[in-house]
Amino acid sequence: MQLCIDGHSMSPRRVFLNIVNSRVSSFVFGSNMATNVLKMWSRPFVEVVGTLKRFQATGVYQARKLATYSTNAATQKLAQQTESGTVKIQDPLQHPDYFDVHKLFTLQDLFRANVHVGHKTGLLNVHMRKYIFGVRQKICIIDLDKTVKHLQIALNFASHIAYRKGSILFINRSLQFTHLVEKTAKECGEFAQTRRWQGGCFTNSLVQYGPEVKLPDLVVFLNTQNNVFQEHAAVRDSAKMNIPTIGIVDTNCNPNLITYPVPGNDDTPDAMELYCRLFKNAILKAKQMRKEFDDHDNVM
Amino acid sequence: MVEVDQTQTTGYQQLGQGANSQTRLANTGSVELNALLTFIPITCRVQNLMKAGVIKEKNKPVWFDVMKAFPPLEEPLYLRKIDKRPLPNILYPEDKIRAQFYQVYGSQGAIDLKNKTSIAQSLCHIFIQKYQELEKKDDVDCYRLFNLTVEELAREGLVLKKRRKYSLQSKQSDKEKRFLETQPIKDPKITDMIKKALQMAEHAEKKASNDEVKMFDTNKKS
Repeated sequence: MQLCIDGHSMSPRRVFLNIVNSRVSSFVFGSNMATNVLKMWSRPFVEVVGTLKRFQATGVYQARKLATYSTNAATQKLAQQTESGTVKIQDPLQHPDYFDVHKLFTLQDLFRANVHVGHKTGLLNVHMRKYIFGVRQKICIIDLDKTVKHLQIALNFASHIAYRKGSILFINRSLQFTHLVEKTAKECGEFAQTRRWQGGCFTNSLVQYGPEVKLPDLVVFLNTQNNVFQEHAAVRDSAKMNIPTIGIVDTNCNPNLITYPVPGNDDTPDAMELYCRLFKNAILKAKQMRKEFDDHDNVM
Repeated sequence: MVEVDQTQTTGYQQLGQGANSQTRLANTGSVELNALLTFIPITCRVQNLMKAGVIKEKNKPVWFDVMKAFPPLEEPLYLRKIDKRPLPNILYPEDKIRAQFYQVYGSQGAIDLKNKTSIAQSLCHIFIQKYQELEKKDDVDCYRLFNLTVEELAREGLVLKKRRKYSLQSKQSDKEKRFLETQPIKDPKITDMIKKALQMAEHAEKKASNDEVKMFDTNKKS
């Protein structure tokens, strides 16, 4: 499913905000006012309808609640079968690295892709200092040990979200990598927004796009800045709307509002291709595993 | 006002308690950021909304359990303490030699640092290796070591060309220099002839200044 939230034209020709049939989940509107939370909830919010799993020949819809995904029932079922010696499936959240994210990349790969190279010291954002290894010829060098840790956690989180059939939005406003990001999103069946950001995209989605539209469950920033080197509005907006974010933060970016920042270079094509490839592979793997689980579950 | 549960034992408890102290700090004038956004990260907010009963268990967001199981390494707070220590410079012991080398011999062209062979073949690298070799052998001071390495390399067949600024002062008189600079002639024979002529002229001048008057005989030259 390709989604392109295009700020420019509202033409139906362009792929647009899909009014999701297959992924309807509850809205959580972040309140803009600290005071009366209950008043804000006067807006209608969509209840969990569930995923439309499969339309079977007999016409029976198999609905399953998304939010209360639990493997308890499934594991019980599976436990009975494991006596015969089949594969033991556990709750993915219990496993420290269910999707083998640590196998996706090595520190050497990051180095080869120039992920450690930051901007010059004059451009250094004060909050990025903890991620800097040192300064070489006035160029900030990012500590790759930290990057590895952050990137593994970020990929793991993204995998889990994909496993739970959450929607992921890739954001990048660097013109050089517009096509790359859109292609990545398309290949892993997720969404991308690489054009001008409309002010109320998240915060005013009810009015702008209607009540049926669901906001993404995870936003991945491949560049946290917009095309004029300021922080992208979506960083603040996703924090407002209670949407977790993963962001590749370069030395001139502010990582504070991003839930899973990944300190690294966001200007080199090698580095960007690496990130896109990693996220794509992680998401596809997670989806594959989920599909296997569903099929296995269905068989019984 | 969203109540922050003080009895929580999660890692976010600090935050709830610290909210008041942070409000006092918030004279930064962050107009676009509202209070909740600035001080309380999303997990905490959603957790509190759930406690308050606004978000039902069945409606909880997809990411909630995942984030509980795999929390971020640092809480995503907007206001954080800034580490004001100076950033360390990345320096190596060879940098001293490198600096000296480039000062005397100038840029030797671009080196592809990703390519090991291009580094190994670069003049600077060869120089440094030689220098370090000689350093291990004798306990000589760095000034002599530099010249030693130059000599060693010359012996092995690698002659380095100094930058103009550092080139040795040749025994050229001012007149000769000026002449050569204004009229660069490539034919060595002619330059030699001119040199000789000028030398003769100088010689004559010296003699004249020493109160020895002698006619400059052009026939003698040829």
